[in-house]
Amino acid sequence: MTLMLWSAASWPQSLSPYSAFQGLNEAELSTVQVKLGPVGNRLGKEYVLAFTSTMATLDLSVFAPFYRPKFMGSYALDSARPQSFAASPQEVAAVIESVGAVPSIADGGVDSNPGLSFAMSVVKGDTVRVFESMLDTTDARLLFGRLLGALASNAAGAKQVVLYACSRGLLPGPTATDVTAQVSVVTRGFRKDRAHGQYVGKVRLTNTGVLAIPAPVVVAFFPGENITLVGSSGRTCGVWPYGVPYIEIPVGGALAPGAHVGAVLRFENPDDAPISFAPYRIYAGPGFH
Amino acid sequence: MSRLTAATLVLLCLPTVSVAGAITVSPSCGSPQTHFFVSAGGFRTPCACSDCVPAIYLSVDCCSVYALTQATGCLTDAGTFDLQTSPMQCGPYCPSIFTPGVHVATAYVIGDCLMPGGEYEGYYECVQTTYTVVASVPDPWANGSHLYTDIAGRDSVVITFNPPASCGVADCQAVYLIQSTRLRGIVGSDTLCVPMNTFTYSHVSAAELEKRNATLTSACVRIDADASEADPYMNGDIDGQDIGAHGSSGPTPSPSWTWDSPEATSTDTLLMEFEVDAYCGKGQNRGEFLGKLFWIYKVSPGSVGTAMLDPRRGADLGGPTPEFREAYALWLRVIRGSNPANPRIPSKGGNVCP
Repeated sequence: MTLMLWSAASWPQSLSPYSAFQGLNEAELSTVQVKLGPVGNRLGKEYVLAFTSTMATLDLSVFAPFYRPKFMGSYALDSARPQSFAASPQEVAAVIESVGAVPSIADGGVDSNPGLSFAMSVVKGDTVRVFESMLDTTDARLLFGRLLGALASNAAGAKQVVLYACSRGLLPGPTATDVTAQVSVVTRGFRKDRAHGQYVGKVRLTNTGVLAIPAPVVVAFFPGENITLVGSSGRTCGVWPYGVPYIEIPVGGALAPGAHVGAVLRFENPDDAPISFAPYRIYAGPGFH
Repeated sequence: MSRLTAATLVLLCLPTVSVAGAITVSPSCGSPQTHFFVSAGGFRTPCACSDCVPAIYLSVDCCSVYALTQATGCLTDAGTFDLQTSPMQCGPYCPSIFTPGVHVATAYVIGDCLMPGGEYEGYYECVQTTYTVVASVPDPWANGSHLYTDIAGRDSVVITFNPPASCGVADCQAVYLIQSTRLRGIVGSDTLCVPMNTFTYSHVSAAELEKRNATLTSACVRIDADASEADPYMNGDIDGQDIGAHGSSGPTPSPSWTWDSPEATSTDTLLMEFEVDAYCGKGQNRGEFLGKLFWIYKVSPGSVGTAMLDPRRGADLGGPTPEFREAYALWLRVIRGSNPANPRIPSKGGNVCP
């Protein structure tokens, strides 16, 4: 592991206004780096999330001369391994345009109770320009919404942003609806399919309520330690149980009252450990999981 | 009525296998200080065992280390025991079970069953295995922590668990590090628990803090993991939330490491107490804890924090503290709705007793 320590020489340098990032040409866009990081007291596993153009290599050291002295402790995570993803220059431009429409973010100020640093760097000619805005939870939630909108076609990037927002309880929208109480669930199995080396089981969902259950319908559960749900649609973050795999059960547009649907579940289970299905939750309709 | 003898076996449910019971000692090699975990189970039972009086006995050399009896019913597993903490009764001429050399661990089940005719018939099965004690083994925590100081003078710490090859630590395909934390405010000579939702964490929502606070035990200890994490590991496989790498133990071990950098300010002096436990997450010994290390972080008003190994508690290769276990169980229950994995009862291992 390498921990970098920044040189203290010649900082802090002046931050640039947001306008310095608007109207960038293609070459300049390819140098833009966007960085999100926690501010203030830390708990748990905090990290920096950053992205840059697919044509550039991430280099967070360019931010160091622009650190705000009052928040030096908050920048310590820049020197640890940041989590990153790539975005196209067009996606970077979309981010700049979308976020720029939120004055309380584009002002480059420090909110009264800041918890998130949103910073960007760009190389213009031979000069590095850096913008930073320190946001409270309200503005941070707005920022995450703008980022997700601009990165809608970047699945890997959007996934990272959702996880970053969710781990702070700052998802920019509602979670899917818990419909567990109006669904009867029957499982069968789970036995080892020796042909594939996987464990196989079946789950059958019946809508026992009087209202149709809108798609998508997902089942979330923790199968057990070191057991992988094959074909998982994702991992929960905003709904309980947290951090477990979920799988979408195809129901068409909705699961009508009295109707049922089944699916085959497959698991990688190298330790041949017992697979658990309970507790589970069924979520339906739009929203974060 | 014939009482129990090894020769009068009743019909067993698995008559086609020569031996169904198994016994393992993990690790199979270590020093006198090593925590050897003995697991035994998988013993056959009579098909109708509800009227049996069974017992499982575990011994090492000529020391009796464990006995599990049951009034009536079926008994197939003895469970898992730490030889360092198991009460034992040794004969007057028995050397210590931790004396350097090869030791024999034996498990046997013996039962007496009431048959339909009103008579009793017995059953018996015995398996044994060996483990080796050597004078000393390298300490996986020997270089367990390295401190770094950032440009602002704040400390961060790299925790490393580096098991030696083959001897001293149970084989494990993936060794993860789980950390518990206790945050206390020091006011005069008193210490107060600082719950998550009474401290200022401006980067997370109030709802998220409530969620995390629900994982705080009455002893003010919580597992240091986000509520949204797929696992409680510091060095797991989740991008971003986990940092470091998980290694392995066994014949070709590799180190496991993680990094932490606390950051806290308060009008009171704060003390964060951390316990890092090495945990086997993959392989036949999944569910076993392999050792623990303690470090602390202290910060006074107006100053930067200082991290150091906890001068009050040394690292060891034993299981977690009760406070950690309680926090770990609570985290799993609140976040996942699950319980801690039990060390697995072996389905194979050992040989039929001669």
